[in-house]
Amino acid sequence: MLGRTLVVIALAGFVASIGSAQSGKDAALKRGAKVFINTMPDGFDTFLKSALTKKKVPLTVVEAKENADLEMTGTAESQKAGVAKKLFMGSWQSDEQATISLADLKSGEIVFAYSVNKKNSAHGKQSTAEACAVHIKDELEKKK
Amino acid sequence: MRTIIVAAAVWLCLCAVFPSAQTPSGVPQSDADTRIPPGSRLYIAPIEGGYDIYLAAAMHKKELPLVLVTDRSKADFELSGVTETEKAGWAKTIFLASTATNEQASIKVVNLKTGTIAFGYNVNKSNSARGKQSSSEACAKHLKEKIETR
Repeated sequence: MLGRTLVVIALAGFVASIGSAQSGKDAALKRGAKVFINTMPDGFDTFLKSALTKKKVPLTVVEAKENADLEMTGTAESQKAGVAKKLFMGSWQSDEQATISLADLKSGEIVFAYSVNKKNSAHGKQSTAEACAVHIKDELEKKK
Repeated sequence: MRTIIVAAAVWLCLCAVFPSAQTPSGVPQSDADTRIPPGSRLYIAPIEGGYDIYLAAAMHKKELPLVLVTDRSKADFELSGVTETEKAGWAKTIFLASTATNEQASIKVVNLKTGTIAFGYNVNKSNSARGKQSSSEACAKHLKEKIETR
């Protein structure tokens, strides 16, 4: 009787461990999920909202964190071309770098993160924001 | 048979309750203290300039076998660090025709249960091809090597 009980407990533990291993990453990042975009330096959050729309990323952007499944945080940095770069390299374009992460608000796990660095960015922050949007879309399409 | 099962169960319970009995205090930290098992939950503490997010992105790209969490209380390990960027000045731009930055960063991973430092790494990149992204990926790559080394 005792042996049988121990076997049942062991099986229950095994099943629970499989369940927990499969939750997390797969559960949160899915098409149609609601995402809240945090405020970022230099208004990069606004660039990201526009890029998500332009690249038709299948996520819904919400304005209230309480209504969201995912939270996006990130930072961006621009280095404008100085006089030396303009005169000697003939380039007026800025160097851009940005990074974002998407966290599942229920489990607290980071389900996706991406960073981008563009030298002589053709369209400044717009280029880096669109790179982020494209990679989020790719990740969602992998999960189809 | 029943006696054996009960004795085994009692022994397992004792091992769980008194784990320190196997590692007496005063003994130098063993490999077990500094090991980072695959599947561990890692919290990345905020780092100046959003470098913590660069690290999260690098870990995602390098496919580290860790679960990143945003709540420290749910983590097994905590990563903290510092970073510094030196932008190219006018002389470097003119004479070396380079606008690449010099990057340096340092990270450490602490086991939150034992308080021991499980991993530490420094990186210094002159003319970093991709700025903070390059240094964060170097950190992630070396952390992955540490996890995979048993």
